Amino acid sequence: MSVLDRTRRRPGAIDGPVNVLLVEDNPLDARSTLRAARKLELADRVDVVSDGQAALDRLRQARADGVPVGLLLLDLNLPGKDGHDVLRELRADPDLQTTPVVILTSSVEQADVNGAYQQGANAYVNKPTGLDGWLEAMATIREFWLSLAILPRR
Amino acid sequence: MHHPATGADREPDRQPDARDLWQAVLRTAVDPIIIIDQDGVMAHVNEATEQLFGYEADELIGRNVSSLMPEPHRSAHDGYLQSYLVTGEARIIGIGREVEALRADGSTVPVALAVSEIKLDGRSWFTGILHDLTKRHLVEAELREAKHGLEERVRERTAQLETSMVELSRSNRDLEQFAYIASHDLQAPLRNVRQGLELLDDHLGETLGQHFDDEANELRDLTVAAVVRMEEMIDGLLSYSRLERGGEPTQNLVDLRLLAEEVIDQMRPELIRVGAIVEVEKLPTVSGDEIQLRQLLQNLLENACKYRDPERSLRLSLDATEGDEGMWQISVGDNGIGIEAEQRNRVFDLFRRAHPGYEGVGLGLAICQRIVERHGGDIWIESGPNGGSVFNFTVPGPTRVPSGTET
Repeated sequence: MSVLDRTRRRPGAIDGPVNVLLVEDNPLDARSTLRAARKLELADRVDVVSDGQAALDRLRQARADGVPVGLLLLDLNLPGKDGHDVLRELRADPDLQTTPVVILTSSVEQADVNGAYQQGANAYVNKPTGLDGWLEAMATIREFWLSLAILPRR
Repeated sequence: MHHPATGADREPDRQPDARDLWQAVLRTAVDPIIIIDQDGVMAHVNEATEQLFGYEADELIGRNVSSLMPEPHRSAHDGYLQSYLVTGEARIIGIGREVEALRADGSTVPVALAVSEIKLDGRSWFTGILHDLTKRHLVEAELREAKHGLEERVRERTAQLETSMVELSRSNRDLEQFAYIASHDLQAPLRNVRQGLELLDDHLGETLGQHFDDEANELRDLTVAAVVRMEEMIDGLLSYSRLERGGEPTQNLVDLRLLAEEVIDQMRPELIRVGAIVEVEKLPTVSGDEIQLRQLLQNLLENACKYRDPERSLRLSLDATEGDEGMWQISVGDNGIGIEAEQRNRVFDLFRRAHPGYEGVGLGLAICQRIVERHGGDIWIESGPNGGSVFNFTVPGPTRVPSGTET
């Protein structure tokens, strides 16, 4: 039985698939994430933007369109508004504040980790190395966040 | 030539009158000579006196000699004379000293003055012989100036040297900072190169399927290997430069025997794999940075495993001897493949590898050297008894721990 089959049977999936927004400015990291997503048959659920302001715009637009983002994969080191800024603004916005956020970054600085959790991140993950690493990370994220965990719904 | 070479006695020249002769000598003497009576009145002066002071002789004779002195001696001179004649205590007479002489034009000139007393018919006369010191003073001034200039130059050079040293240590710091920043910031693009390669590989694999030929596989593997190697070098450079960024190593008491046992425990699987026998002699407690000393021991032991002789089982020994000035010498010996004599100093250089065909980027020993140097010690290699190597390093013993940290 594949992970995907199990996903379909979870109660969390009743309202349809969860949309994932990836905020990543490094095109190769974005490509790796997308390729891994594609191999896990998640490609049509994952959207990518490359800076903080675009992320907030997309989150609000998606909500207005009735297809809210169910999980945000957020890089910290971004041009303009960085990941910390996005997180702070998100948590201060009544419409968006319950959005689950997984930080996906190459930073291992303890200050970044602590800061992210303080600002309301739900998980902090280091970017994997190698395509196999990405596959494993994305499979784990799917398994936990899109299958095991029950996410807030409107 | 005017005298016969026979050496026969010559008829002496006709002798002039001794009195005439002495008068002439006094008159033409190079140094001024002044004779005064016991009231200080000048009775005789010679030509040199006229020249030095700028007076004619008859302008001087009959005048008090104090007119040739600047104040305060000018006013006091009569008193000096009286005091001598009453007490017999000489301040200049028979002694001589350096004084200022006052010329007709009002200028002064330094002179050495020697005064002697003559008694004739119950009266005292005094003879003063003066020697112009102007030239000597000039020379002395020049010497002083030269000495001063020399001191000034030494000061300047010292200041320059100090500036250079400050600059050197700053540029060293900058270099260390640069190494850190460069290695840290090079990680991200290199990570992208690796990612791009893997994505390309995956993509070509998907689109071409099994049609990836041997040449393509080989090129990909070579490129990935180059990337991996560069990642290792950057990682090594980072840990090397982190040694500097950590500031001065901490100075704690470190039980080297305990530390060695921990390192050996940690390396147990590898030591068993290569069939190593490790002998740890009595190791001292030293003062230093435990984390860095652990890395030092680990690097040396790992090197010994790596460069073991495949023909025989590896024997490792750790030993210590007490050295000078509170330092301990630690020796890590092996019976491995050894290092050629001319390579022994170079292996501590960054990215230097003594043996081709082994993995690694050549940073392990550079890090070892840096750690030892930062502890104020030395590291060097000697050849071992069985063709292997002995790595020696020195570290400060516990007595060198600053007061307060010692238990």
